Amino acid sequence: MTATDGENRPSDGPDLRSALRWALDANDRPGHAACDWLATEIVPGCNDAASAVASRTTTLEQLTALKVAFKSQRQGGATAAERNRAARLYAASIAAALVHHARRITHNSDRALNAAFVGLRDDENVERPLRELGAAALSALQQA
Amino acid sequence: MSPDPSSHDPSASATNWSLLHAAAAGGEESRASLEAVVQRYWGPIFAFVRATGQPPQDAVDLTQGFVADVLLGRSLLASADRKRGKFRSLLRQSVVNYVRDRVRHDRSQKRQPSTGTPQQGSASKFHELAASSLKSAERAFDAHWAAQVIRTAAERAQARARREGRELAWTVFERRTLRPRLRGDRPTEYSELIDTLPLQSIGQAAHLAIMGRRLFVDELLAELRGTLGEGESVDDEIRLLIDALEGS
Repeated sequence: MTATDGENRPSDGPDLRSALRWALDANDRPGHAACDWLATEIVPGCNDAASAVASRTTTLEQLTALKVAFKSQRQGGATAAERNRAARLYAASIAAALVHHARRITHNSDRALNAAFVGLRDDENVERPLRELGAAALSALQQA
Repeated sequence: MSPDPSSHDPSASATNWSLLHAAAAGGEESRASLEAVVQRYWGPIFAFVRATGQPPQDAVDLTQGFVADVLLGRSLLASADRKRGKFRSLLRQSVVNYVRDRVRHDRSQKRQPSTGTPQQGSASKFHELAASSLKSAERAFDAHWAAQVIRTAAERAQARARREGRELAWTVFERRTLRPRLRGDRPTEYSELIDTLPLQSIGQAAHLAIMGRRLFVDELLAELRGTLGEGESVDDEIRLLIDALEGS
């Protein structure tokens, strides 16, 4: 399952199946589930965390919220896989703000950002749109 | 979550198998565990009996009879063992057998001596149902079982959040996500949560909501695994319970 189960829709009555789907999701995709859940909390209707961050329709406000949430998840995730995934998505959220909105939403130094974007671009375990975002953000950073 | 031996509420701390074994141990100390077992499984048993077409009062009587005669009176608890497969199947089959036996017994009692024709009543109703839609009664059992597992997991997760000082994460998850799913409440908006709780941003609140959900899911998986037999797949069990809820 991906995170597209209407997490933020108004309630239309009890839905116990959601709870069981979360369990299935967490069991089947231990590194990814929590980050996808986070993304659907902030970007309603998104398919997963990668698409939420990479989409041009995600607002600057949402990217800022995603950045804060992934930063917390990077530190407080339940497993190493979850924390590593959150770290990449944290960098990707900053990259997306830079590339899609021409805004810097972090106080991190250029050097730190450069390292984070290189890591994102070169990580073959990360979805292609996020890696492309890392590459584009590197260019934007160097041109600034 | 590992069982907390100091807890006075077995239903909130013990996994299914450990609770069953504690209840079967006998003596004064098992009383709380026995009560927890009855509380935990009354709903699915009653739902099954009602779905067979029994009127409410007859269903209560049959459920009480099963609990007294089989769950507590016979060796079901003592014989419950992971090696025999999942407890849900064991309990459900025991209920099917019990209701069938009781109905047959009642039929023979009510049989009219002159004609041998059974009177209309609960006996014949179950007989008819057994031929036609026993499956739907079993689905009702499974759906109520799923609801009970989810409720138990929520209680355990809340207790764990309290023990581990993660009440804020639990509160955000509960208001934002859990109550709307379990009770149909309106989900609390993040802006409202930020206004009323010590939260600073949507990002922080969303992270806490997910921490709370993670707690709940961990307990739900533990609860589900705690009902399975050796080597059985929790994914298969979850899919089956989702199906049961869809059909209920």
